[in-house]
Amino acid sequence: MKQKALVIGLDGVPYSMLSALMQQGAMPYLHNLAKHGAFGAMEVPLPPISSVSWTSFATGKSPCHHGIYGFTDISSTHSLVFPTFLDVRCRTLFDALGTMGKRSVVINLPATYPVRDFPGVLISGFVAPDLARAVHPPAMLPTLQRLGYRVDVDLTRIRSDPELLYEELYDILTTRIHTAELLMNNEPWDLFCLVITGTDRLHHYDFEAWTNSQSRNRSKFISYYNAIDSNIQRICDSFITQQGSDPYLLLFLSDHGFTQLDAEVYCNALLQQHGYLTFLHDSPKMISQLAPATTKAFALDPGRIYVNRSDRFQHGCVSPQDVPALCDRLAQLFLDLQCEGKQVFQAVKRREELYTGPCAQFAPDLVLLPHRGFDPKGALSDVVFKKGHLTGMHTHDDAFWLCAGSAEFDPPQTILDCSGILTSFFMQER
Amino acid sequence: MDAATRTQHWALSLAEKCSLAKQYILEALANAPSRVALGWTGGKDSTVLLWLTREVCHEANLPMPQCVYIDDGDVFPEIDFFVRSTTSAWGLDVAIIRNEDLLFRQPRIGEAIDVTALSSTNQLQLQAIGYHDSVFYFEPESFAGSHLTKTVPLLQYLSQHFISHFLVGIRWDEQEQRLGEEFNSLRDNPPHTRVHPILHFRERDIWDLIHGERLPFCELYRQGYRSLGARSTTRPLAAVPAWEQDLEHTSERQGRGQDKEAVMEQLRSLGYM
Repeated sequence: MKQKALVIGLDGVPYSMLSALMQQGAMPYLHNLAKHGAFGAMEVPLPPISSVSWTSFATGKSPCHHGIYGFTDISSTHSLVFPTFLDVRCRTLFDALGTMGKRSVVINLPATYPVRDFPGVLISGFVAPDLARAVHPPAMLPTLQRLGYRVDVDLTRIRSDPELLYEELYDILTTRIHTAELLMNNEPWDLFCLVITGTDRLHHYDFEAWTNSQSRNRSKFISYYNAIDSNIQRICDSFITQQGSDPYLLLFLSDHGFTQLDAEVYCNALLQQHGYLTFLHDSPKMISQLAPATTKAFALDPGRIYVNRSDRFQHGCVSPQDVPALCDRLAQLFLDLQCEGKQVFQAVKRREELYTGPCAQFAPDLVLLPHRGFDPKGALSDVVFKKGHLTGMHTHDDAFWLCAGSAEFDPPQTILDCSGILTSFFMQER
Repeated sequence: MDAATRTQHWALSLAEKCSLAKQYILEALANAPSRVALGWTGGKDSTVLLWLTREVCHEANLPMPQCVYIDDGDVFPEIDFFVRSTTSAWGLDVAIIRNEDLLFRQPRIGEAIDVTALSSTNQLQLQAIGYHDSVFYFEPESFAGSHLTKTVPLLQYLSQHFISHFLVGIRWDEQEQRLGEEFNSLRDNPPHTRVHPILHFRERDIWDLIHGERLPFCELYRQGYRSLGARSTTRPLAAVPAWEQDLEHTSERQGRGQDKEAVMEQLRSLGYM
């Protein structure tokens, strides 16, 4: 007997929305699986962003163990750095399975760029600007190029012409599924993991099509989910047929929830207005241009607040004994913030509350937990509240999981529990 | 260089590759020994080139050319240590060059510098590459940053010392852009010949030679770094030493932070940054 597991990630798909789509009949295949298997909501670690969540899925560990706190990070000299797959500080599920002689095929898992030595096939997901460094083994590159494989929709193109959104989404979905089917049938594997990220892009750019039933794109939105459902069915049917009587596990999950975006909240503008943050120049473009001698705190996406501590930054100006009192004042500042009479943040979490592992020292000092609709931003701006072209925002709760097949497990409470379901499936004596 | 020639060269034995490299070095030195210089980064390739050049000088009884080391303001302490210790162990003449106008400010990585505050030479050099922003960001591996921190001091050195042949340790298999390179390539600003004696070495050849001849190498390679660049943008590729990694199937440049701008653009379109 040879057990195999198939994981399909749907980036940024909320449990509440998926249940509603199932009830409406837009996703009949997943609905049927949910009825025969198990389906529920789960949380993801803070901050709720794909690179953090998927790394947590891949390692079964929280950010204070794997060291990834966002798509950006800040160095000890205040320069902006971009954490990569090479910065992940603990072993992934795929490496662990590799030591058991199990081979994984992983397609489009975010935050796995650039590729490194890997027990199986890895095609990195967002952010992966150069396909040549996003494919392991490299011999697979020509095949992907022939298929016209792209890591992501062309976001620059969509920004200039929003009408292209759905066209791009279908184009990427088709090639991704085609690639998955090719690898599924031609590569040896024990664990197959495919992530669909078009869902997250759709939500960022057109979540209104879901939240507003009068939206002119409503039917396009539903049709896209319908297409995802039928593509998933094709892949799963072929997998289940191939497995015959051998044990299998199907796991579907998302990496965070999504909700309607009412206002973007520019945390650095607030810090600047209250004198906590100053810049070297009049019209700064990046946070790395802060004035280290006079800056007490600054923010990075999404809602990560860093104190400019002298024991962390080379030119930091806040001494360690002053940090707790400063954090109290900052927490109050954010909790008091209102937008049109509504409180913006429901809680401000301290580093000590959230992060205790070996990478806790790289964590932000505070993490802001917004009320639904308020999206905390790290970008620079003159004003605190703005509404741009994006219509949806992430939530740390309301991610989903769905499991079917021959596995016994406790329902996952957070995304960290998902890799445990997979490892125990492979470790079971049969 | 065309693919067939490259394939022929790659198929040579290590000894044959070394003797070909030595021929190119000797040709350059025999031409004008006092006007030859060697680019040394402290990395594995230029250290192999340096060793081959020492061998040639020893065999032909020629003086060693001056080595040129560029301090880009973002150097790993391990590389600095390696360069210093090898300089004294091998009795080398090393010119350490840097963009003084930029580095005397001791800029932090990513720090913004007003272009008007830079020297007129640096301002002209930025204009020459089409950089018209009013602010220059100190990042040694961005296009403008690399031009000011590395290219400008090197070009100044070459013209001030009337260098006719500059030896550089690049290799075809390092990255795709290198595949077209020739062993001798003429440059016109300032006029000189770039000599690439180890163009035909594979990454594996470099390590075989380093271990076989017990050549010194920078400690970072033992920590898993495969290719060394600026400190702020270079990462190790695996937890095992460079030479124990899968050199044939992974790219040594993966640990180098060269697509920062593309990454930033993509993050921006999702509202991050």
